[in-house]
Amino acid sequence: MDTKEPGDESQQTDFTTILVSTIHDVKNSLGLVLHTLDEVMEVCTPQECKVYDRFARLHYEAKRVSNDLVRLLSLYKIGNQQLLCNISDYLVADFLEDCQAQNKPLLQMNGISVETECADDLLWYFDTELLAGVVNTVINNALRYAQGRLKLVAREENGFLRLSVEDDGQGYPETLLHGDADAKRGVSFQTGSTGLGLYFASVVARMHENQGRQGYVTISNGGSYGGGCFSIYIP
Amino acid sequence: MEVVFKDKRVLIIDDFPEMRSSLRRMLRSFGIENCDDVDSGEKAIEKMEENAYDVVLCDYNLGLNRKDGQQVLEEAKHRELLPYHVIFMMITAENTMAMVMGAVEYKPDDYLTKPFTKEVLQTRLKRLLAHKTHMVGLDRAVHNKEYAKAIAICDSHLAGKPKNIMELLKVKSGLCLKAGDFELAAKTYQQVLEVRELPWARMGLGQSFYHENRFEDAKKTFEDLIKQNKTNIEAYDWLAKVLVKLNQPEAAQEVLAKAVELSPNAIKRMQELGELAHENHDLDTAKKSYKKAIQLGKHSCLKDPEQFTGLAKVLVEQDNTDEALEVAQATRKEFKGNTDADLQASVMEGVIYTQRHEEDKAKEAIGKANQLYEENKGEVSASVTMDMAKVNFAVGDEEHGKGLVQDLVRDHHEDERFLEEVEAVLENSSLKDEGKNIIEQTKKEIIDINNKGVYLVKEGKMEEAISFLEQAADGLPNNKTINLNAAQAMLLFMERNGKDEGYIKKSRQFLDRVAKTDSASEKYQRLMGLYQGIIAA
Repeated sequence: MDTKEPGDESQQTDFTTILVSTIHDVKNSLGLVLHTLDEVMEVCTPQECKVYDRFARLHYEAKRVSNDLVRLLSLYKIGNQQLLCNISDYLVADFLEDCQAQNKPLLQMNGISVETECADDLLWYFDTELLAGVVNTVINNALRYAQGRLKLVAREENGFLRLSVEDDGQGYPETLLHGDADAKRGVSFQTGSTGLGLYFASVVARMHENQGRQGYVTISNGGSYGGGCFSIYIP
Repeated sequence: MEVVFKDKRVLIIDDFPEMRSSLRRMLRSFGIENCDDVDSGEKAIEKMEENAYDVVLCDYNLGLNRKDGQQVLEEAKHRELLPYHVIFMMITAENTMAMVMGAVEYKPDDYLTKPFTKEVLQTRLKRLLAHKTHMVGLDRAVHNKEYAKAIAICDSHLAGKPKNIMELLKVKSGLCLKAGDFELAAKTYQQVLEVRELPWARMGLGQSFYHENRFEDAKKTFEDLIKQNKTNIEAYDWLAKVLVKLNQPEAAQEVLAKAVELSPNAIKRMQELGELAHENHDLDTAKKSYKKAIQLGKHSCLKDPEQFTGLAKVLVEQDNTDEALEVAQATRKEFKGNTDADLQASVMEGVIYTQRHEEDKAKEAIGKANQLYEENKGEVSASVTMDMAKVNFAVGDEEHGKGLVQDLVRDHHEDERFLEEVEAVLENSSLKDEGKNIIEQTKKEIIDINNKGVYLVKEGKMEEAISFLEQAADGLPNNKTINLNAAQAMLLFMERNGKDEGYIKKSRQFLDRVAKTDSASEKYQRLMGLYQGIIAA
């Protein structure tokens, strides 16, 4: 939104408005598609239905597009200061339980089991909607690479809440790991990685500040299962 | 904690049939079969009147020109259709949380953002049900306005070093504000802020400052909160209140106007903006705001004849008496069978016809108002009574005018600022010369009554004191001092001589009268504590 040329302002605004309202519209349509798919999948079980895994695939891809659109809209709103960071206190274990519940159907369809590791009295301060957006995106991405297991880990580390999503896949490619997890590095037309997820995560992390310290994200390989490991640090 | 879903009864409110059936399916998947669903807030209220639910799932957006979810919650709470053990969950579309939340009197137990899976619904319900069960004592005490007891319950939970310590501190400090213990409230908020800068705690601290009359501190606090987050509507509301106290009504109006811009659908705020603008003689804004408040109130329990009265008075000031008359008529139509509204409409007509110099019609209107006032004694608001007095004086009915003024003084004999306003009414009337005298005499009459009651108590003539004060309090249902003292006499008697069913009922009635306007007063809280102790004994 800072890229507009001088003298180009009104056109740019018009285009931005159209872009945003179109994204909204597409997102709503996708919502209906997903809802219908849910209904279809509710009546056909993997045992009875030969094309169940295709439905699961459809569902996953539609969900991915929908998530991307939601992230885009959020970023637009953040840029316009319409979406602010609303920090309050939460029990992290409850937060993780909610994230897991929100992704349960998707995880089941893809045959992925999830474990969480978090002290049940760990209390932290964050914007729950924004952070849930990050975790959901990361889980969604991890699904593409995980073999069968995911782990959500939360603990306090040097005055930060460290929240990690670990998978048992191949891990992040070397190109992505070098340097920090800056979004632009993730762009690859070959793999279809737009970097949007990581970009969104780092924006949300940076929106969290406490006593002069800012949140950040890291990616690495290893973790409990030796696969990819995404971490967001909230001060 | 084990949560049993099977025996729970749920009400679903959503205007989309697909969403309703989808929610039903979700609930069935974890064992809840007993549900009703409706497509509108109006039907939801009917259902809640007929049945007792454990959980209400309500979509925020229920269609254009219909009651929204917040209005359903308000009305249900207002009409006491939602006992404290019932869970009310508000379902919202993505990113509308801020809009929904604002500074509302009633907040749902939880918000659920669409889309969500059945597992999310199950997880949240399980957590909320367990929480409600755990906190049932606290909720009951809050519901019964037993704040001291509720605070003690919070303390005992806190002593157990619970996981949700911040949440309990939030509840506790909020209770301190309600109970009028502003010092403890401020201390508790400070305690939280030492751990972490949290907007809710900063907000509470600002409110504590406000109640402790530390207006400059309060002003700075709310300004800082707005600087941090310019969509913090609650901070705007409080900043406006502070500015009124600091005698800057124009600045207050500006702030409230910003809040209205951010959240244009809150009726109370719109009404307040109308009142402020009216005071500031910004008649156009006042008119617009009252009109909007009336329009918003169409489907809400927060609709209030005072919004119509305000609009009519603005129109009279703009010399638009024709439209003002229409407003008076609309009041009767909108509030059929409501004596107070009927009375206010008659007062409006009195004001309008006085302005038009149509004395006969003015007399007729105010005559009707006077009659309704007798039927509705003790229920008429001070500002309406004041208008009535003015019209009576204007049409030369000195006797009724004086009677009304005396009633006002009797109800507020200790409120000097209010008495000045009453004096101003007399200044502009034919009773100009006796004005001060009338006020002083009436004040003395009440002080004498009170003193006699207090004297009898001190002399130990308890039964005599009780019957004297009881009679006085019933004659002066809006006088806080007399009603508190009547309750106190009965409570002291029971403390010495044991419980008495009649006194328990009666003293509660006196306390409830005070609670209507001033449940935060220290004496009220103290007597309420005494009352709780006696009924528990």
